[in-house]
Amino acid sequence: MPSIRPSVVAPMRRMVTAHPRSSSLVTKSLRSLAARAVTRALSTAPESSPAVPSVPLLINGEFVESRATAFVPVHDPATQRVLAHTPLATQDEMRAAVDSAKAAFPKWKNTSVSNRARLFFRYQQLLRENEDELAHLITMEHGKTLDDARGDLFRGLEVVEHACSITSLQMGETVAGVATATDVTSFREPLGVCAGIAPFNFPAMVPLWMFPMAIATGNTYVMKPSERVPLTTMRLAELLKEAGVPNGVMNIIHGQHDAVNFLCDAPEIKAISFVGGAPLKASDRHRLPLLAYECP
Amino acid sequence: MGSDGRSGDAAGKHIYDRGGANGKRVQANLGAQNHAVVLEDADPESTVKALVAAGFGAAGQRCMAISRVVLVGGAQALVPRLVELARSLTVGPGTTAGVGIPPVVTPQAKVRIERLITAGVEAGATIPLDGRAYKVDGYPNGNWVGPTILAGVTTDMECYRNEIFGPVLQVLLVNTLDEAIELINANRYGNGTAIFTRSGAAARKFTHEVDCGQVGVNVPIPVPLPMFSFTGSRGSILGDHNFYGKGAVAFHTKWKTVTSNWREDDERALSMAMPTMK
Repeated sequence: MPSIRPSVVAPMRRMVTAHPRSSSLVTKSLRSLAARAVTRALSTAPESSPAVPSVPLLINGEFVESRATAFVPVHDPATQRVLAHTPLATQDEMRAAVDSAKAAFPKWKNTSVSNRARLFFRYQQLLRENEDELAHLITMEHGKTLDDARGDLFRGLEVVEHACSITSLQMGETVAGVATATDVTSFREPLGVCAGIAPFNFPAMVPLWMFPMAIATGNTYVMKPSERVPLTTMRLAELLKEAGVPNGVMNIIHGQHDAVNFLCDAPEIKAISFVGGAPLKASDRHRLPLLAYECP
Repeated sequence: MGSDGRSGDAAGKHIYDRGGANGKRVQANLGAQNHAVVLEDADPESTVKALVAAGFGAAGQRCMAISRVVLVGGAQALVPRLVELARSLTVGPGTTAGVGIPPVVTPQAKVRIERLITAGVEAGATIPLDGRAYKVDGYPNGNWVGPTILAGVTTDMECYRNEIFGPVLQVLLVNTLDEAIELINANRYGNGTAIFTRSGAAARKFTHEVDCGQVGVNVPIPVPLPMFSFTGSRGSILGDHNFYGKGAVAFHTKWKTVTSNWREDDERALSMAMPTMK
Protein backbone atom coordinates (compact mmCIF):
# COMPACT_ATOMS: atom_id res chain seq x y z
CA MET A 1 0.00 0.00 0.00
CA PRO A 2 1.27 3.50 -0.70
CA SER A 3 2.33 5.67 2.17
CA ILE A 4 -0.43 7.94 3.35
CA ARG A 5 0.54 11.51 4.00
CA PRO A 6 -0.95 12.48 7.34
CA SER A 7 -1.20 16.05 6.15
CA VAL A 8 -3.71 14.97 3.53
CA VAL A 9 -5.83 12.71 5.66
CA ALA A 10 -5.90 14.65 8.91
CA PRO A 11 -7.55 17.79 7.57
CA MET A 12 -10.18 15.66 5.87
CA ARG A 13 -10.93 13.82 9.09
CA ARG A 14 -11.21 17.12 10.91
CA MET A 15 -13.50 18.48 8.25
CA VAL A 16 -15.70 15.44 8.40
CA THR A 17 -15.97 15.24 12.15
CA ALA A 18 -16.69 18.95 12.31
CA HIS A 19 -19.66 18.50 10.03
CA PRO A 20 -22.97 17.87 11.78
CA ARG A 21 -24.27 15.34 9.30
CA SER A 22 -21.08 13.34 9.12
CA SER A 23 -21.57 11.02 12.07
CA SER A 24 -24.14 8.81 10.42
CA LEU A 25 -23.09 9.00 6.80
CA VAL A 26 -19.35 8.82 6.90
CA THR A 27 -19.36 5.66 8.95
CA LYS A 28 -21.78 3.94 6.62
CA SER A 29 -20.57 2.20 3.56
CA LEU A 30 -21.55 3.27 0.08
CA ARG A 31 -23.42 0.04 -0.18
CA SER A 32 -25.87 1.35 2.35
CA LEU A 33 -26.04 4.67 0.55
CA ALA A 34 -26.80 2.92 -2.70
CA ALA A 35 -29.30 0.61 -1.08
CA ARG A 36 -31.08 3.48 0.60
CA ALA A 37 -31.24 5.38 -2.68
CA VAL A 38 -32.87 2.43 -4.37
CA THR A 39 -35.25 1.85 -1.48
CA ARG A 40 -36.22 5.50 -1.50
CA ALA A 41 -36.94 5.45 -5.20
CA LEU A 42 -39.08 2.37 -4.93
CA SER A 43 -40.96 3.39 -1.83
CA THR A 44 -44.11 5.44 -1.84
CA ALA A 45 -43.07 7.47 1.19
CA PRO A 46 -43.47 11.22 0.87
CA GLU A 47 -40.39 13.20 -0.01
CA SER A 48 -40.28 14.78 3.39
CA SER A 49 -39.29 11.44 4.90
CA PRO A 50 -35.88 11.19 6.53
CA ALA A 51 -32.64 12.61 5.34
CA VAL A 52 -31.86 12.31 1.68
CA PRO A 53 -28.19 11.33 1.68
CA SER A 54 -25.37 13.49 0.48
CA VAL A 55 -23.10 11.68 -1.98
CA PRO A 56 -19.66 11.19 -0.40
CA LEU A 57 -16.31 12.08 -1.87
CA LEU A 58 -13.53 9.50 -2.11
CA ILE A 59 -10.25 10.91 -0.87
CA ASN A 60 -7.22 8.80 -0.06
CA GLY A 61 -9.25 5.63 0.24
CA GLU A 62 -11.93 7.05 2.50
CA PHE A 63 -15.51 7.90 1.67
CA VAL A 64 -16.05 11.26 3.32
CA GLU A 65 -18.95 13.65 3.41
CA SER A 66 -18.37 16.98 1.72
CA ARG A 67 -18.60 20.24 3.65
CA ALA A 68 -20.18 21.78 0.56
CA THR A 69 -22.83 24.41 0.99
CA ALA A 70 -24.33 23.91 -2.48
CA PHE A 71 -25.82 20.68 -3.80
CA VAL A 72 -27.44 19.31 -6.96
CA PRO A 73 -30.34 16.92 -6.48
CA VAL A 74 -30.24 13.47 -8.06
CA HIS A 75 -33.75 12.75 -9.33
CA ASP A 76 -35.45 9.60 -10.47
CA PRO A 77 -36.53 10.83 -13.94
CA ALA A 78 -39.72 8.75 -13.83
CA THR A 79 -41.03 10.36 -10.64
CA GLN A 80 -38.82 13.37 -9.74
CA ARG A 81 -38.23 11.73 -6.37
CA VAL A 82 -34.94 13.00 -4.93
CA LEU A 83 -32.57 10.08 -4.41
CA ALA A 84 -29.53 11.93 -3.12
CA HIS A 85 -27.80 15.29 -3.15
CA THR A 86 -24.54 15.73 -5.03
CA PRO A 87 -22.27 18.20 -3.23
CA LEU A 88 -20.30 20.81 -5.12
CA ALA A 89 -17.00 19.96 -3.46
CA THR A 90 -15.00 22.75 -1.83
CA GLN A 91 -11.62 23.85 -3.17
CA ASP A 92 -9.95 22.30 -0.10
CA GLU A 93 -11.61 18.97 -0.75
CA MET A 94 -10.62 18.95 -4.42
CA ARG A 95 -7.08 19.91 -3.43
CA ALA A 96 -7.01 17.04 -0.91
CA ALA A 97 -8.11 14.61 -3.63
CA VAL A 98 -5.32 15.71 -5.97
CA ASP A 99 -2.75 15.68 -3.15
CA SER A 100 -3.82 12.16 -2.29
CA ALA A 101 -3.46 11.03 -5.93
CA LYS A 102 -0.06 12.68 -6.19
CA ALA A 103 1.17 11.07 -2.99
CA ALA A 104 0.02 7.63 -4.12
CA PHE A 105 1.65 7.85 -7.56
CA PRO A 106 5.30 6.88 -6.91
CA LYS A 107 4.42 3.63 -5.20
CA TRP A 108 1.66 2.72 -7.65
CA LYS A 109 3.89 3.47 -10.63
CA ASN A 110 6.44 1.04 -9.22
CA THR A 111 3.89 -1.66 -8.42
CA SER A 112 4.61 -4.52 -10.79
CA VAL A 113 2.57 -4.57 -13.96
CA SER A 114 1.41 -8.08 -13.06
CA ASN A 115 0.02 -6.87 -9.76
CA ARG A 116 -1.65 -3.93 -11.45
CA ALA A 117 -3.29 -6.40 -13.84
CA ARG A 118 -4.40 -8.60 -10.91
CA LEU A 119 -6.32 -5.67 -9.42
CA PHE A 120 -8.46 -5.65 -12.55
CA PHE A 121 -8.88 -9.44 -12.60
CA ARG A 122 -10.43 -9.09 -9.13
CA TYR A 123 -12.40 -6.02 -10.20
CA GLN A 124 -14.04 -7.63 -13.24
CA GLN A 125 -15.22 -10.49 -11.04
CA LEU A 126 -16.75 -8.06 -8.51
CA LEU A 127 -18.51 -6.14 -11.28
CA ARG A 128 -20.06 -9.39 -12.50
CA GLU A 129 -21.11 -10.43 -9.00
CA ASN A 130 -22.77 -7.06 -8.39
CA GLU A 131 -24.37 -6.67 -11.81
CA ASP A 132 -27.96 -6.57 -10.55
CA GLU A 133 -27.33 -3.94 -7.92
CA LEU A 134 -25.36 -1.78 -10.32
CA ALA A 135 -28.04 -2.09 -13.01
CA HIS A 136 -30.72 -1.03 -10.54
CA LEU A 137 -28.63 1.96 -9.47
CA ILE A 138 -28.21 2.99 -13.12
CA THR A 139 -31.94 2.71 -13.74
CA MET A 140 -32.80 4.61 -10.58
CA GLU A 141 -30.65 7.62 -11.21
CA HIS A 142 -30.58 7.70 -15.01
CA GLY A 143 -33.97 6.24 -15.91
CA LYS A 144 -32.94 3.78 -18.63
CA THR A 145 -34.48 0.31 -18.66
CA LEU A 146 -32.89 -2.45 -16.59
CA ASP A 147 -31.88 -4.42 -19.69
CA ASP A 148 -30.27 -1.32 -21.12
CA ALA A 149 -28.58 -0.63 -17.77
CA ARG A 150 -27.04 -4.12 -17.85
CA GLY A 151 -25.69 -3.30 -21.32
CA ASP A 152 -24.30 0.00 -19.99
CA LEU A 153 -22.39 -1.92 -17.32
CA PHE A 154 -21.34 -4.71 -19.69
CA ARG A 155 -19.73 -2.35 -22.20
CA GLY A 156 -17.72 -0.91 -19.31
CA LEU A 157 -16.88 -4.37 -18.01
CA GLU A 158 -15.32 -5.17 -21.39
CA VAL A 159 -12.85 -2.33 -20.86
CA VAL A 160 -11.99 -3.71 -17.43
CA GLU A 161 -11.41 -7.13 -19.00
CA HIS A 162 -9.09 -5.49 -21.51
CA ALA A 163 -7.23 -3.74 -18.69
CA CYS A 164 -6.36 -7.22 -17.41
CA SER A 165 -4.10 -7.49 -20.50
CA ILE A 166 -2.02 -4.51 -19.47
CA THR A 167 1.05 -6.73 -19.11
CA SER A 168 1.10 -7.07 -22.89
CA LEU A 169 -0.52 -3.77 -23.83
CA GLN A 170 2.07 -1.62 -22.09
CA MET A 171 5.09 -3.29 -23.71
CA GLY A 172 7.72 -1.02 -25.14
CA GLU A 173 10.04 -1.59 -28.07
CA THR A 174 13.65 -2.66 -28.44
CA VAL A 175 16.20 -2.52 -31.22
CA ALA A 176 19.40 -4.38 -30.51
CA GLY A 177 22.64 -3.19 -32.07
CA VAL A 178 21.77 0.26 -33.38
CA ALA A 179 25.53 0.91 -33.24
CA THR A 180 28.56 -0.87 -31.92
CA ALA A 181 27.59 -2.42 -28.58
CA THR A 182 24.59 -0.11 -28.45
CA ASP A 183 20.95 -1.10 -27.87
CA VAL A 184 17.81 1.01 -27.66
CA THR A 185 14.83 0.16 -25.46
CA SER A 186 11.70 2.20 -24.95
CA PHE A 187 9.31 2.14 -22.04
CA ARG A 188 5.72 3.35 -21.78
CA GLU A 189 5.72 5.21 -18.48
CA PRO A 190 2.62 6.48 -16.68
CA LEU A 191 2.05 10.23 -16.62
CA GLY A 192 1.17 10.83 -12.96
CA VAL A 193 -2.25 12.03 -11.84
CA CYS A 194 -4.97 11.78 -14.49
CA ALA A 195 -8.57 12.97 -14.32
CA GLY A 196 -11.90 12.00 -15.84
CA ILE A 197 -15.07 14.05 -16.33
CA ALA A 198 -18.08 11.90 -17.18
CA PRO A 199 -21.50 12.62 -18.69
CA PHE A 200 -24.94 11.57 -17.45
CA ASN A 201 -25.95 9.19 -20.19
CA PHE A 202 -23.79 6.15 -19.38
CA PRO A 203 -23.39 6.09 -15.58
CA ALA A 204 -21.21 2.95 -15.66
CA MET A 205 -19.76 2.62 -19.16
CA VAL A 206 -18.09 5.99 -19.57
CA PRO A 207 -16.41 6.13 -16.12
CA LEU A 208 -15.21 2.59 -16.89
CA TRP A 209 -13.78 3.85 -20.19
CA MET A 210 -11.66 6.20 -18.11
CA PHE A 211 -10.19 5.14 -14.77
CA PRO A 212 -9.43 1.42 -15.35
CA MET A 213 -7.00 1.95 -18.24
CA ALA A 214 -5.46 4.99 -16.54
CA ILE A 215 -4.86 3.07 -13.31
CA ALA A 216 -3.76 -0.13 -15.09
CA THR A 217 -1.03 1.82 -16.87
CA GLY A 218 0.29 3.03 -13.49
CA ASN A 219 -1.36 6.42 -13.09
CA THR A 220 -3.42 7.61 -10.15
CA TYR A 221 -6.82 9.15 -10.70
CA VAL A 222 -9.32 11.84 -9.80
CA MET A 223 -12.78 11.11 -11.18
CA LYS A 224 -15.61 13.61 -11.45
CA PRO A 225 -18.80 11.70 -12.23
CA SER A 226 -21.82 13.46 -13.67
CA GLU A 227 -23.51 15.35 -10.85
CA ARG A 228 -26.78 13.97 -12.25
CA VAL A 229 -25.80 10.29 -11.89
CA PRO A 230 -23.03 9.99 -9.26
CA LEU A 231 -24.34 6.96 -7.33
CA THR A 232 -23.25 4.34 -9.87
CA THR A 233 -19.71 5.72 -9.90
CA MET A 234 -19.58 5.63 -6.10
CA ARG A 235 -20.50 1.96 -6.11
CA LEU A 236 -17.97 1.28 -8.89
CA ALA A 237 -15.33 2.93 -6.72
CA GLU A 238 -16.37 1.00 -3.65
CA LEU A 239 -15.94 -2.24 -5.59
CA LEU A 240 -12.53 -1.09 -6.83
CA LYS A 241 -11.59 -0.56 -3.21
CA GLU A 242 -12.87 -4.03 -2.39
CA ALA A 243 -10.69 -5.35 -5.23
CA GLY A 244 -7.71 -3.89 -3.39
CA VAL A 245 -6.86 -0.58 -5.03
CA PRO A 246 -4.39 1.19 -2.73
CA ASN A 247 -5.48 4.35 -0.94
CA GLY A 248 -5.09 7.46 -3.06
CA VAL A 249 -4.90 5.66 -6.40
CA MET A 250 -8.60 6.32 -7.05
CA ASN A 251 -10.27 9.53 -5.83
CA ILE A 252 -13.67 11.07 -6.54
CA ILE A 253 -14.78 14.67 -6.40
CA HIS A 254 -18.18 16.12 -7.25
CA GLY A 255 -19.15 19.41 -8.77
CA GLN A 256 -19.83 21.43 -11.88
CA HIS A 257 -18.01 24.40 -13.42
CA ASP A 258 -15.67 25.00 -10.50
CA ALA A 259 -14.70 21.34 -10.32
CA VAL A 260 -14.06 21.21 -14.07
CA ASN A 261 -11.92 24.32 -13.93
CA PHE A 262 -10.05 22.99 -10.91
CA LEU A 263 -9.15 19.82 -12.84
CA CYS A 264 -8.09 21.88 -15.88
CA ASP A 265 -5.82 24.05 -13.73
CA ALA A 266 -4.32 21.74 -11.06
CA PRO A 267 -0.66 21.42 -12.07
CA GLU A 268 -0.36 17.86 -10.75
CA ILE A 269 -2.94 16.62 -13.26
CA LYS A 270 -1.26 15.57 -16.49
CA ALA A 271 -4.17 14.34 -18.57
CA ILE A 272 -7.94 14.82 -18.70
CA SER A 273 -10.52 12.57 -20.31
CA PHE A 274 -13.90 14.14 -21.06
CA VAL A 275 -17.04 12.83 -22.69
CA GLY A 276 -20.03 15.05 -23.09
CA GLY A 277 -21.54 18.31 -23.98
CA ALA A 278 -24.07 20.68 -22.58
CA PRO A 279 -27.03 20.64 -24.92
CA LEU A 280 -29.02 23.25 -23.07
CA LYS A 281 -30.30 26.54 -24.36
CA ALA A 282 -28.88 29.57 -22.69
CA SER A 283 -32.44 30.38 -21.69
CA ASP A 284 -32.74 27.00 -19.99
CA ARG A 285 -29.82 27.61 -17.74
CA HIS A 286 -31.50 29.93 -15.34
CA ARG A 287 -33.97 27.19 -14.55
CA LEU A 288 -31.23 24.82 -13.47
CA PRO A 289 -29.24 25.19 -10.28
CA LEU A 290 -26.16 24.95 -12.47
CA LEU A 291 -25.31 23.58 -15.85
CA ALA A 292 -25.35 19.81 -16.09
CA TYR A 293 -22.68 18.25 -18.23
CA GLU A 294 -24.26 15.77 -20.55
CA CYS A 295 -23.06 13.48 -23.25
CA PRO A 296 -24.47 14.75 -26.51
CA MET B 1 -27.86 26.37 -27.43
CA GLY B 2 -27.72 28.44 -30.55
CA SER B 3 -29.65 27.63 -33.66
CA ASP B 4 -26.78 25.59 -35.07
CA GLY B 5 -26.33 23.51 -31.94
CA ARG B 6 -22.61 24.13 -31.82
CA SER B 7 -22.70 25.36 -28.23
CA GLY B 8 -23.38 21.74 -27.25
CA ASP B 9 -19.65 21.28 -27.68
CA ALA B 10 -18.80 24.25 -25.47
CA ALA B 11 -17.93 22.19 -22.40
CA GLY B 12 -15.53 19.92 -24.26
CA LYS B 13 -13.91 22.79 -26.12
CA HIS B 14 -13.49 24.70 -22.86
CA ILE B 15 -11.79 21.72 -21.18
CA TYR B 16 -9.61 21.05 -24.23
CA ASP B 17 -8.52 24.68 -24.45
CA ARG B 18 -8.04 25.31 -20.74
CA GLY B 19 -6.37 21.97 -20.03
CA GLY B 20 -4.20 22.36 -23.12
CA ALA B 21 -3.16 25.86 -22.14
CA ASN B 22 -1.99 24.36 -18.85
CA GLY B 23 0.13 21.79 -20.66
CA LYS B 24 -2.14 18.82 -20.12
CA ARG B 25 -3.15 16.11 -22.53
CA VAL B 26 -6.88 16.22 -23.16
CA GLN B 27 -9.12 13.75 -24.96
CA ALA B 28 -12.66 15.09 -25.37
CA ASN B 29 -15.51 13.25 -27.06
CA LEU B 30 -18.06 15.83 -28.19
CA GLY B 31 -21.31 15.85 -30.12
CA ALA B 32 -22.69 13.48 -32.70
CA GLN B 33 -25.39 13.33 -35.34
CA ASN B 34 -25.37 9.78 -36.62
CA HIS B 35 -26.96 8.81 -39.93
CA ALA B 36 -28.11 5.39 -41.07
CA VAL B 37 -28.30 4.96 -44.83
CA VAL B 38 -30.84 2.45 -46.13
CA LEU B 39 -30.60 1.15 -49.69
CA GLU B 40 -33.53 -0.33 -51.53
CA ASP B 41 -32.07 -3.84 -51.38
CA ALA B 42 -31.84 -3.93 -47.57
CA ASP B 43 -33.86 -6.55 -45.75
CA PRO B 44 -36.90 -4.48 -44.75
CA GLU B 45 -37.91 -6.04 -41.45
CA SER B 46 -34.47 -6.47 -39.87
CA THR B 47 -33.53 -2.95 -41.03
CA VAL B 48 -36.62 -1.35 -39.52
CA LYS B 49 -36.05 -3.21 -36.23
CA ALA B 50 -32.43 -2.09 -36.14
CA LEU B 51 -33.39 1.53 -36.81
CA VAL B 52 -36.08 1.58 -34.14
CA ALA B 53 -33.76 0.03 -31.55
CA ALA B 54 -30.88 2.37 -32.37
CA GLY B 55 -33.06 5.46 -32.64
CA PHE B 56 -35.30 5.04 -29.61
CA GLY B 57 -33.27 2.87 -27.20
CA ALA B 58 -32.36 4.76 -24.01
CA ALA B 59 -34.82 7.39 -25.31
CA GLY B 60 -32.22 8.39 -27.89
CA GLN B 61 -29.78 9.55 -25.21
CA ARG B 62 -26.73 7.79 -26.60
CA CYS B 63 -23.94 9.54 -28.42
CA MET B 64 -24.01 6.67 -30.93
CA ALA B 65 -27.80 6.67 -31.32
CA ILE B 66 -29.10 6.71 -34.88
CA SER B 67 -30.95 10.00 -34.97
CA ARG B 68 -31.16 10.37 -38.75
CA VAL B 69 -32.27 7.86 -41.36
CA VAL B 70 -31.30 8.55 -44.95
CA LEU B 71 -33.56 6.55 -47.25
CA VAL B 72 -32.16 6.09 -50.74
CA GLY B 73 -34.64 5.88 -53.64
CA GLY B 74 -37.17 3.10 -53.20
CA ALA B 75 -36.19 2.56 -49.56
CA GLN B 76 -38.65 5.32 -48.65
CA ALA B 77 -41.31 2.62 -48.81
CA LEU B 78 -40.09 1.64 -45.31
CA VAL B 79 -41.57 4.72 -43.61
CA PRO B 80 -45.02 3.26 -42.80
CA ARG B 81 -43.49 0.16 -41.17
CA LEU B 82 -40.99 2.33 -39.29
CA VAL B 83 -43.85 4.40 -37.90
CA GLU B 84 -45.89 1.31 -37.04
CA LEU B 85 -43.07 -0.35 -35.11
CA ALA B 86 -42.06 2.83 -33.29
CA ARG B 87 -45.68 3.44 -32.30
CA SER B 88 -45.81 -0.01 -30.72
CA LEU B 89 -43.04 0.80 -28.21
CA THR B 90 -44.04 1.11 -24.57
CA VAL B 91 -43.04 4.29 -22.77
CA GLY B 92 -42.57 4.05 -19.02
CA PRO B 93 -40.23 3.68 -16.06
CA GLY B 94 -37.05 1.70 -16.65
CA THR B 95 -37.92 -0.71 -13.87
CA THR B 96 -41.08 -1.93 -15.61
CA ALA B 97 -40.67 -5.04 -17.74
CA GLY B 98 -41.48 -4.55 -21.41
CA VAL B 99 -40.75 -0.82 -21.46
CA GLY B 100 -38.87 0.25 -24.58
CA ILE B 101 -38.57 4.00 -24.03
CA PRO B 102 -37.62 5.29 -20.57
CA PRO B 103 -37.97 8.89 -19.40
CA VAL B 104 -35.48 11.49 -20.61
CA VAL B 105 -33.03 12.74 -18.04
CA THR B 106 -34.51 16.02 -16.84
CA PRO B 107 -37.63 18.16 -17.27
CA GLN B 108 -35.36 20.66 -19.07
CA ALA B 109 -34.29 17.98 -21.56
CA LYS B 110 -37.97 17.21 -22.26
CA VAL B 111 -38.71 20.88 -22.91
CA ARG B 112 -35.75 21.17 -25.25
CA ILE B 113 -36.59 17.99 -27.18
CA GLU B 114 -40.20 19.06 -27.67
CA ARG B 115 -39.13 22.53 -28.77
CA LEU B 116 -36.86 21.07 -31.47
CA ILE B 117 -39.62 18.73 -32.67
CA THR B 118 -41.94 21.73 -32.97
CA ALA B 119 -39.24 23.66 -34.83
CA GLY B 120 -39.05 20.79 -37.32
CA VAL B 121 -42.79 20.81 -37.92
CA GLU B 122 -42.82 24.58 -38.29
CA ALA B 123 -40.01 24.33 -40.84
CA GLY B 124 -42.05 21.97 -43.00
CA ALA B 125 -41.24 18.46 -41.76
CA THR B 126 -44.16 16.07 -41.45
CA ILE B 127 -44.74 14.24 -38.20
CA PRO B 128 -46.26 10.81 -38.78
CA LEU B 129 -45.60 9.94 -35.13
CA ASP B 130 -45.77 12.67 -32.50
CA GLY B 131 -44.53 11.97 -28.97
CA ARG B 132 -44.93 15.47 -27.58
CA ALA B 133 -47.04 15.93 -24.42
CA TYR B 134 -46.87 12.21 -23.76
CA LYS B 135 -48.55 10.87 -20.61
CA VAL B 136 -47.78 7.68 -18.70
CA ASP B 137 -50.45 6.39 -16.32
CA GLY B 138 -49.36 6.45 -12.71
CA TYR B 139 -46.32 8.64 -13.37
CA PRO B 140 -47.60 12.17 -13.77
CA ASN B 141 -44.21 13.75 -13.02
CA GLY B 142 -41.95 11.69 -15.29
CA ASN B 143 -39.95 13.28 -18.10
CA TRP B 144 -41.86 11.51 -20.85
CA VAL B 145 -41.33 12.00 -24.53
CA GLY B 146 -43.03 9.45 -26.74
CA PRO B 147 -41.46 8.01 -29.91
CA THR B 148 -41.43 10.66 -32.60
CA ILE B 149 -40.69 10.49 -36.31
CA LEU B 150 -40.05 13.60 -38.36
CA ALA B 151 -40.17 12.94 -42.11
CA GLY B 152 -39.22 15.11 -45.05
CA VAL B 153 -36.43 16.65 -43.00
CA THR B 154 -33.85 18.73 -44.84
CA THR B 155 -30.37 19.69 -43.70
CA ASP B 156 -31.22 23.37 -43.29
CA MET B 157 -33.82 22.71 -40.59
CA GLU B 158 -33.03 23.56 -36.95
CA CYS B 159 -34.08 20.06 -35.88
CA TYR B 160 -31.46 18.59 -38.24
CA ARG B 161 -28.69 20.99 -37.28
CA ASN B 162 -29.09 20.18 -33.58
CA GLU B 163 -28.46 17.02 -31.66
CA ILE B 164 -31.94 16.44 -30.22
CA PHE B 165 -30.77 13.69 -27.82
CA GLY B 166 -34.26 12.31 -27.40
CA PRO B 167 -36.53 9.61 -28.88
CA VAL B 168 -36.79 11.33 -32.23
CA LEU B 169 -35.92 9.80 -35.59
CA GLN B 170 -35.49 12.22 -38.49
CA VAL B 171 -36.05 10.84 -41.98
CA LEU B 172 -34.32 12.35 -45.02
CA LEU B 173 -34.77 11.22 -48.62
CA VAL B 174 -32.08 11.13 -51.34
CA ASN B 175 -31.88 9.55 -54.77
CA THR B 176 -28.46 7.90 -54.77
CA LEU B 177 -25.82 6.46 -52.46
CA ASP B 178 -23.44 9.20 -53.61
CA GLU B 179 -25.92 11.83 -52.41
CA ALA B 180 -26.22 10.04 -49.06
CA ILE B 181 -22.45 10.00 -48.61
CA GLU B 182 -22.22 13.66 -49.57
CA LEU B 183 -24.92 14.56 -47.04
CA ILE B 184 -23.17 12.69 -44.21
CA ASN B 185 -19.77 14.10 -45.05
CA ALA B 186 -21.20 17.62 -45.03
CA ASN B 187 -22.32 17.16 -41.41
CA ARG B 188 -19.72 18.54 -39.03
CA TYR B 189 -19.72 15.46 -36.79
CA GLY B 190 -18.06 12.14 -37.52
CA ASN B 191 -18.93 9.91 -34.58
CA GLY B 192 -20.68 7.06 -36.34
CA THR B 193 -22.78 5.97 -39.29
CA ALA B 194 -24.28 2.81 -40.72
CA ILE B 195 -25.47 1.39 -44.01
CA PHE B 196 -28.15 -1.23 -44.53
CA THR B 197 -27.82 -3.17 -47.78
CA ARG B 198 -27.31 -6.62 -49.24
CA SER B 199 -24.79 -5.30 -51.76
CA GLY B 200 -21.17 -5.88 -50.86
CA ALA B 201 -20.04 -3.41 -53.49
CA ALA B 202 -22.30 -0.65 -52.15
CA ALA B 203 -21.23 -1.38 -48.58
CA ARG B 204 -17.58 -1.29 -49.53
CA LYS B 205 -17.98 1.98 -51.41
CA PHE B 206 -19.76 3.48 -48.39
CA THR B 207 -17.22 2.32 -45.82
CA HIS B 208 -14.36 3.75 -47.85
CA GLU B 209 -15.92 7.07 -48.88
CA VAL B 210 -17.87 8.08 -45.79
CA ASP B 211 -15.93 10.34 -43.40
CA CYS B 212 -17.02 9.04 -40.00
CA GLY B 213 -14.79 7.22 -37.53
CA GLN B 214 -17.14 4.32 -36.73
CA VAL B 215 -19.03 2.62 -39.54
CA GLY B 216 -21.58 -0.17 -39.32
CA VAL B 217 -22.57 -2.44 -42.18
CA ASN B 218 -25.99 -3.81 -41.25
CA VAL B 219 -24.99 -2.88 -37.68
CA PRO B 220 -26.77 0.18 -36.34
CA ILE B 221 -24.55 1.18 -33.39
CA PRO B 222 -21.00 0.21 -34.35
CA VAL B 223 -19.25 0.96 -31.06
CA PRO B 224 -15.96 -0.97 -31.17
CA LEU B 225 -14.92 -3.41 -28.45
CA PRO B 226 -11.82 -2.49 -26.42
CA MET B 227 -9.36 -4.45 -28.54
CA PHE B 228 -10.05 -1.43 -30.76
CA SER B 229 -10.78 2.10 -29.55
CA PHE B 230 -13.80 4.42 -29.70
CA THR B 231 -12.86 6.17 -32.90
CA GLY B 232 -15.33 8.94 -33.56
CA SER B 233 -13.71 11.52 -35.81
CA ARG B 234 -13.95 15.08 -37.18
CA GLY B 235 -16.14 17.32 -35.00
CA SER B 236 -16.91 14.51 -32.56
CA ILE B 237 -13.49 14.53 -30.88
CA LEU B 238 -10.85 16.97 -29.73
CA GLY B 239 -7.45 15.48 -28.97
CA ASP B 240 -5.11 13.01 -30.58
CA HIS B 241 -5.84 9.80 -28.73
CA ASN B 242 -9.02 7.73 -28.64
CA PHE B 243 -10.79 6.32 -25.61
CA TYR B 244 -10.05 2.78 -24.39
CA GLY B 245 -8.11 0.10 -26.22
CA LYS B 246 -4.62 0.82 -27.52
CA GLY B 247 -5.53 4.50 -27.74
CA ALA B 248 -5.98 4.59 -23.96
CA VAL B 249 -2.51 3.12 -23.42
CA ALA B 250 -1.00 5.78 -25.68
CA PHE B 251 -2.98 8.55 -23.99
CA HIS B 252 -2.05 7.54 -20.45
CA THR B 253 1.64 6.87 -21.00
CA LYS B 254 4.69 8.73 -22.23
CA TRP B 255 7.61 7.16 -24.03
CA LYS B 256 11.02 6.91 -22.47
CA THR B 257 13.68 5.68 -24.88
CA VAL B 258 16.96 4.44 -23.42
CA THR B 259 20.13 4.12 -25.52
CA SER B 260 22.83 2.01 -23.86
CA ASN B 261 26.43 1.43 -24.89
CA TRP B 262 28.26 -1.49 -23.31
CA ARG B 263 31.53 -1.86 -25.21
CA GLU B 264 33.92 -4.49 -24.00
CA ASP B 265 36.83 -2.16 -24.96
CA ASP B 266 36.54 1.49 -23.97
CA GLU B 267 36.23 4.04 -26.81
CA ARG B 268 38.76 6.80 -26.15
CA ALA B 269 38.72 8.96 -29.30
CA LEU B 270 37.45 12.54 -28.89
CA SER B 271 34.79 13.58 -31.42
CA MET B 272 33.11 16.99 -31.40
CA ALA B 273 30.67 16.12 -34.17
CA MET B 274 26.95 15.59 -33.52
CA PRO B 275 26.73 12.00 -32.25
CA THR B 276 25.49 9.54 -34.83
CA MET B 277 25.00 5.83 -34.41
CA LYS B 278 27.72 3.91 -36.23
